[in-house]
Parts: sequence; structure tokens; C-alpha cells
Amino acid sequence: MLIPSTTGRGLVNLIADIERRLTGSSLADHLDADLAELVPDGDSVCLVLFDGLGASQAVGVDEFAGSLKAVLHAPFPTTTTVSLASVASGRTARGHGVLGHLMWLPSEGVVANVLKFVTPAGQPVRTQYEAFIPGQTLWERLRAAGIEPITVQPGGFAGSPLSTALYRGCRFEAVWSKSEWIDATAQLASEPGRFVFAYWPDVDVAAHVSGRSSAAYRHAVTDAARLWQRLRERVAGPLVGTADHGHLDYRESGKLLLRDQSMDSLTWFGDSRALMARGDAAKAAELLAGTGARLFAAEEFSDWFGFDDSPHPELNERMPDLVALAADDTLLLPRGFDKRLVGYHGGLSRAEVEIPLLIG
Amino acid sequence: MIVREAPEESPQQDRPAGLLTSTLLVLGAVAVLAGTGTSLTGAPAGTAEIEPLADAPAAESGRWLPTGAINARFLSPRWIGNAYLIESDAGTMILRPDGSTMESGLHGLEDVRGASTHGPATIVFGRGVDGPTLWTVNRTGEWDSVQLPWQGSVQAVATVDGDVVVLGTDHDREWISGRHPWPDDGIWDEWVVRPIDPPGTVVRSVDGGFVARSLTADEYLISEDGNEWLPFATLLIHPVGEVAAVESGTRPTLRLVGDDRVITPPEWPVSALWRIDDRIWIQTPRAAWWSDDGWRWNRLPFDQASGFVGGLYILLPFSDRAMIVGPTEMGRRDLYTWFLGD
Repeated sequence: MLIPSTTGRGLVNLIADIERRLTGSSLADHLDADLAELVPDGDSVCLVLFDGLGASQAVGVDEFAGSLKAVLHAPFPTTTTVSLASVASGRTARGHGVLGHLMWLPSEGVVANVLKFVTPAGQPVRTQYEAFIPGQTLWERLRAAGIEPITVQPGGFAGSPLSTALYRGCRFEAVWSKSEWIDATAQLASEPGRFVFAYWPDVDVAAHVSGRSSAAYRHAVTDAARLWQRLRERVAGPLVGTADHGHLDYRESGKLLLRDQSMDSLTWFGDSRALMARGDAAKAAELLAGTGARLFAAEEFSDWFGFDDSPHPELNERMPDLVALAADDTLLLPRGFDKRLVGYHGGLSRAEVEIPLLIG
Repeated sequence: MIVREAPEESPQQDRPAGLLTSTLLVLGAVAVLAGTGTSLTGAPAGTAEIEPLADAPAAESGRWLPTGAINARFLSPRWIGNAYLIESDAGTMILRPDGSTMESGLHGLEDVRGASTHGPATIVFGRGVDGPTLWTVNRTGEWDSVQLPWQGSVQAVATVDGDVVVLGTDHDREWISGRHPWPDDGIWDEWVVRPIDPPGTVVRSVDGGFVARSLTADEYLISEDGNEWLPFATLLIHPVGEVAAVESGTRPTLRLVGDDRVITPPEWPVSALWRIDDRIWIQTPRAAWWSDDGWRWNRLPFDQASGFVGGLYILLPFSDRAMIVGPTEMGRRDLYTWFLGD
């Protein structure tokens, strides 16, 4: 088990470091000195995030070989929404308040799939998406300091609830093909005084759907590596690459379906690798007996969400009473959790936590 | 307390973040539609059908009929005249009105950048094995490739005063334009190539010109000839039907270049707009709509396509039918067809 750093070696620290270089200040701790010295300075910074490309997955890929300079930590739980909220806010989960893939939203009284803002049953969760990240976003702070923030993303994400929540104050550049993604990223990053954040989703999709040993996954990693190589050729200023989490494959026999009727007496959320429960923690522990999961009480896991001087106002109500980290090779799947995938993440294994620090 | 049970359908049709939706707002400005080419009536010779339908749908109107499936995450469909060029896991394919796909027949293709129309003809453009390339359909229904006289890229192609105008970059990534009269003999050897000012980023072809995103501001640029560019704050750009629209009064309306009809969409937001054989199509979050006059609308509700669970649809209208593509299983996109009937 690897508890992610949020004080010098985490994704949030990379963001804070970039913010400090561009504006002179940041809300989270910046990178430890040995990592910070790897990141070049420049008038503009281009950060590429390959969704689902853990550090172990980038090793051995030729196009990444010369760029893989170090390993960072994804935040807990190791999932896209938490990492992207850390990027968009420049703060830890304690500050931005996004605590998982499926998270308990007390003000709405529902568990929400935050990627899509729907309940596990598929019903839309209507909330004030624009206000989901409290305080000023990273983009708003950059803009106030005279730095123009731009994100380059697949066009289908434009205007989605999650994009609305995450990219308040950021120019959203929608692209519809790989060549457009490269052009927009390279050309927009060529102007001074900018922070360009380019997001690429394909590795994660392939790893979820087909698994790390599949041809579809290898194709997606090769594609991502070639995109990175082409950006290296075209971006003159600082080019930094990373990811939001890694991936692991699971056999059907490792998918533990939790279907006891008593499960309904608690509220379950989080991820199948890091299951969270609100309610009677003793009852939760009883229900999870025999799964091999390691159970953690609030005083044990509280620090995993990092530190922030101004915690999210709803943090305590969103926090679980218990976190269950699934044993190696297993997934904890209460009703409503997706059991159809091959690849999963969210836990604290090295493969899930460690993400690459790529320097172009 | 673990129960192992037979496979069941999870109520949470949770999908990773990579699946595309097409929900852009139509907000502003002047506009245009991708063209209505009518060529490419059949399979180019030498191409192979790779995903035949198990059961071809009967031509029944009034509801969505299961039509097939595509293994694809990003379709990026481009209208090429009674068919769509799509990006699937198997490469660049042609999706025909019957829902079947076939190899594109675009020889030497490495990466499609786009497609545009020149009168009744369709031009596909992108990166070929020997550099920037155009593909056009010849009299026998096969694709001919035309290598452009520079190394670098082709970004967009449009018709300007009857000529084909290509915008691209040379080997030093300097912007250039190439202009050529439409060659009735099929020989492309009269290119006039000259440098141009950088128009912006993500330059796209539209019927009647080009659009781009400004490099310096969060705004669109449009141009009829690739030389003069005008800024527009809001504009809908969609990979299928590049569209610009006008907002007027409290109820937004759309206005198309070269078309007298004022389009009053029945609901908002509108995510995409097409003009296929003079019929107007729009997509809203819950339905496809078609109209012959821009005022009276026919609704094709998405929720009648059984099996679809999310709102992530791609509408693909044809002359006499519409197809929708949506994710029903991980990594698979199912097709449904609605025949318009008599």
C-alpha cells in the first residue's frame, strides 16, 4: 500500500509548482526540490494529462523513454475526478471536496457518479455545477495574474456537467481528431503567458474496456506515445506530461459482488478498489468480512485526502466513516458499481498511485 | 457476506470518460452547413464489406430500428454524399445508409483531416503516405488521390469562386494556400501556391469558406477565401455539419448561407445542424428533428431507441432516413435507423 504524497511528490504539487512559477504563489505545497529542478521554466507551460497512463505503463514505451524523468503520486482515491479536480483547483481533495468516482453529495442526498453527474441508477444529478469547485479555480487565479488558461479536450466533453464544474474560468478548446488535438495544443502553447492543459482519454478507455494485455490497449498507448512525440517536436516551451492514475486488470473471479440485503442499511460509494461507507462502521466491517479488504477508520484515512487551510465547506458530511481497500486481485462491488470492466483503479497499489513525470 | 451470482445488468451504465457526446450549444453568428454532395452512390471498386448486417432492417417508418453496431470510440463522422466517413477501431471506414460499414478505399491514407464538397463532388483530405493529399471520386466510383505540391499538411479545403482552395502548412509549418480550378480532366497540375498569414488554429472547411479558432482570443474566425478573416464570438462547430447560427430576440433562430429559410428550432439547445438534400436536420439532447421549411418540425425521439441508456448520441441523417449511434455496451456503439417513409 502506497499512501500518496500531497506535500511534494503528488500531482497536486506539480500543479502548485507550475502555478507558482507562472504567478508567484500557489495554494498547495510545490514540488520537492529534486522534482522541481526537472521542470523547465518558460513564459508559457503546456501540461498534457494522459488519462489512465500509470508510470508502470509508460515504462518500456519507446516514445516515452527519453521523457520519463520521475514518478509522481496520484491523489487518493486514484481516480480521474479527484485528479482532475486537483488540477482544476490546484488544491488537495480536502480543499476541492471531490472525494471519489462515486461520491456522497449530502446537499442533494444522493450518491453521484461525478464523471457524468448521474446516480448509480442513471438519473441526472442536478446541482450547481459551476460552483462545484469552491473558491477560485486554478484557472481564475491564473487569469487574475495575467496568465491565460486554456484546456484542449475532445469536443464531446464541451459543456458537460463535469467540464462545467472543472473548467470555470478556462478557455475550452474543443477538438475532434488527433491532428486537431496536436495542432491546437502546439499552436496555442506557442503564445507567451499561457498555461495550456491538454487532456487525452484513450488509454483509460482501452484499459477499462479491454485490459492492459489487449491489442486495443497497446494501440491506445502507442497512439498516446506518438501524440507525445509529435508534441515534443512542436512545442518550443516547457512541455510536461503526466497522468491521473494507473490501471490494473482483474479476472471475473476477483469481482466480489456484495449483495447482502443488509448492505442497504449503509450508503456505499467510492471505487471498487477503495470502497467507502457512511453509516454504522461496525456494520460495514461485518458486511465486508471475508472479502480480504483492509478496513480503515476515519482517523486512519483522514490524512490521505491531503491538507488544506480552507477545507471544503461540506467536507465532513461528504467524508466516509470507513474506507475498505480491496485486496490484491479483487474488487468490491456493491449494487450499482460497474462490474463489466476489465481494468479498474482507485486503490493504493503502486500501479494505481504512481504516475509518470514526463518532460518534453 | 459475498454473494456470487449470475451476470446481471448493472443499473449504473457507467462508462469511462472517453465516449463522445455531441452537446454543443448553438449560440451565434452567420452561417453555414456542410454541403450536400450526392456522389458515391455505391461501394468503390476493390473495397470489402467487413461488418455485414445480420438482419437488414425492413423499411418500416415511425420508430427506431436496430441496424448494427460499430466498434469505435470516436466516430468523427464526415458527410461524403449519401454516406459518412467514420473513424472506427478498424481504421477509416465508410458507413452506408443501410448501416453497414466498408473499407474506405482511400489508398495511401494515414490520417483524415476532413471532407468537403465541390458541387456534386466530394473531396476528402488529410495526410497520405507521401504527404498532404486530396482524394476525389472518379467516374468509376473509385477514389483518386491527388498529392499536393508541398510537404507539410492540409488543414481545410473549400470552394471559392468555383476553384478549389486548400489551406495548409509547408515543411517549415508556415501557412500557405493552394488554389486550383476544378479539373474536368482530372489532372491537377495548375496549383497556385502562396504564403498566407496564420489564420488561427483548428482550421476547418465549411460550405462557402473556412472557420478557425483564434490563436489570441477565445473566439471564432470565419473566412470566405482563406485571406480575410472575421471574428465571431459564438459559433457552433461540429465535426459533421459545420454550422454557424444567428441568435435573434428571445427565441434563437438560425440562418444558413445561400438559403432563404429562417430556421426556428423547436427546442434548445441545438447540438448540430445539417442540410441534406434541402432537408434541414437538427439534433437536441433528446431527439432528432427534420423540417423542409425550417418551421414545421418532425420529431424522432431518442428514447424510443430501446437499449440506449445515456444521452450520448451521434445523429447521422441521410436523404430518406436518419441513423443514431449510441453506446450501449462498453466499447461498442449500436446503430438505430428511422426511415422517414412516404
